[in-house]
Amino acid sequence: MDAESLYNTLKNIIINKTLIEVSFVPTQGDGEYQPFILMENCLGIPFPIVPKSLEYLKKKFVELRKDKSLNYKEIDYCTKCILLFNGEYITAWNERKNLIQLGYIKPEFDLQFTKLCLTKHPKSSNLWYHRQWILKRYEELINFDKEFEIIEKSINRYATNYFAWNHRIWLLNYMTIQKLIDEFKSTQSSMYKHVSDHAGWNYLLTIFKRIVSIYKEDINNKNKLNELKILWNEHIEFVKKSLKEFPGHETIWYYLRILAGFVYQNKDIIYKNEKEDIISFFEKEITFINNEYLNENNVNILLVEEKFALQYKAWLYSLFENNITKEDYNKLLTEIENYQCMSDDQSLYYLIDIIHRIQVKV
Amino acid sequence: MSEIKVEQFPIKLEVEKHLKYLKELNNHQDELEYWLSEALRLNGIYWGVTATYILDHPEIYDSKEISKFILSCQNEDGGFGGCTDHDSHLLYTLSAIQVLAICDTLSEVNKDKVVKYVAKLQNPDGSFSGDEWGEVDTRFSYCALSCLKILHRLDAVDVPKAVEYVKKCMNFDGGFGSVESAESHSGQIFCCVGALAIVDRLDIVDADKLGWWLAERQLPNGGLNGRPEKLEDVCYSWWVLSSLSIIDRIHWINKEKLINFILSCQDTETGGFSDRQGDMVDVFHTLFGITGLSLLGYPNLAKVDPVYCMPVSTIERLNIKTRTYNQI
Repeated sequence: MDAESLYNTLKNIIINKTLIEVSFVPTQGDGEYQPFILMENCLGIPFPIVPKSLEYLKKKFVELRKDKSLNYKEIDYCTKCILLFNGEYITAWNERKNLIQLGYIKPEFDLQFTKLCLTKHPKSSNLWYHRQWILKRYEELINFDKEFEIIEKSINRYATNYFAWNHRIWLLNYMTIQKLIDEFKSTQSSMYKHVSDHAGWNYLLTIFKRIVSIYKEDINNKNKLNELKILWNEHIEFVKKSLKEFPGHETIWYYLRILAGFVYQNKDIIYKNEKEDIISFFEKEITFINNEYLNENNVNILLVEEKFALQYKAWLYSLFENNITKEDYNKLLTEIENYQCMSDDQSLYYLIDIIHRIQVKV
Repeated sequence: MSEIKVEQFPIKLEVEKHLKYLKELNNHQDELEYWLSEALRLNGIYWGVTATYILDHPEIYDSKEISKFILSCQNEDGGFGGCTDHDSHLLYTLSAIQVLAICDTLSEVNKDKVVKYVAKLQNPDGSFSGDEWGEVDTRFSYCALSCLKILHRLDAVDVPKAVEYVKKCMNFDGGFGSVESAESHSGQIFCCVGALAIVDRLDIVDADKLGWWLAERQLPNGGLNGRPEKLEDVCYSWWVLSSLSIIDRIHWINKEKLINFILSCQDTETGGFSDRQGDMVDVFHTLFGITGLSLLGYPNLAKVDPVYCMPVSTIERLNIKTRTYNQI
């Protein structure tokens, strides 16, 4: 079949069907829309037709753009076809933005269309941005549940999907404080689905950051500060519980580091209303690591967890520099050396280097 | 540091095969990948051309032809599209300028127009949009600053504001993300650290903290990943390693293990590198495999500059060197 007929067939599909999924498939179909395969509104584009179709579509697109005002309808179809093949074709997205601005495409339509394209291109930054561009201009179209569903699906298609998580972070801009707290709690309780996804943990911290920055505006309100403290205490408990439930996950230990960094920076608000100050946080953390992970009597600890615990301990030391003595550092160095002997893992060289450097300062 | 010798490793770098692979890249116009990558052709050309220079065989491409094609991708607004008849974007504008700089054909482009295009994309908060449609990302800060530095026209933008924005994207782990609060990511770290190096503001970076995070990207098999708990990938041999080099912490990586890993990702039959052993090769991973090896001091390769990801010889000719970086 020649490229023009392929284009017309695909156009027909777009006009007559409400597609819900698109993918490349190795074989050609022989049904009504051959060589495309259509099953329950899922479109299969056979690999072999991709090169000649894209070559044709580009030529057609360039032609149509020469006199845009005469060709809006056709540009709409042509860009749709291009983008079903290739979500990274930024010029086609640009042209669609143009058509939205001119009123030729309804923004709601492209929210549907990007949702469809994401089934094939979950990692396309251009695609995510197109969606964001529409929602920024038509805020009334922001529906958190719909967005979360799309994000969730994209993350399931491609775990640790940087752009999907960034989209979720961007949505926080539109949430009220109560919504932020709900989102924090619900993300927390669904973290078990994304334990190894560091982007998910980073997202948790981002919500918490937003919440703290809002409470900061009301820093003299004791009730508010108590609420925040309760939220924080619950959260740190949750993280510790996660460490136990999902042993060996580097992501959770990394999360503890950025969390500690954030809490330290915001100690004046998170630890404002109580007798205990930020040092009590530090001491609790060190006791926790020593008892649970660096304790010779605790035989159930994986070697890799011992390594993560040592890294976190060193991290806390660097954060609470002023509270650490020379002896503390020496003890930590011995612990690291012991670990290296036991594990035959020499990769903590950088940590020893850093500790030596801090020691010189002390 | 001890010198690296080819004999130290069970596999050697298949220079001839890679050159053949790179030379034939443009001969596959009937294939899927050729058309799926059409919209980013200028990136592809940059990856290919730079790879041939680091392999020390730039003659395999006709630099006049290439420059001519690059110039045909420049639009009225002064920026470059990913290919002919594509809209301008900073990602392709930088590639275009890099290739012209490497081929020493920068004199053929209307520089003022390019500078005007780039400068117009800076936002009031110092960030850069990738194009007129407004997407913001620290990748674009790097593109803009690198491009302007190559053209000796950093004066066209507000550098302190640009630095301020990059700083906002720094996280508690010392790394950087694509926008404020975005997760630290080795590719974004390269862009941010590179951008700061270009404008001589590395003082923003906490080198020990960032180096710590980057050093932990090395996995037991020697390869580097881009974020915690992700798989190793040859391209991070570049993003992580160059960042470590820029902040003087490259000695925190086990170089022999990493060289072994990179070499294992070659396709010793067809040439080219893949992200990891056994996958399909592509020009992107081929460049970053080769530049990674160059940065690690692998023999018989031209030196690569960690900030610009261009041959050191080009950087010296352009006179834009930020400083000399230690190899391992």
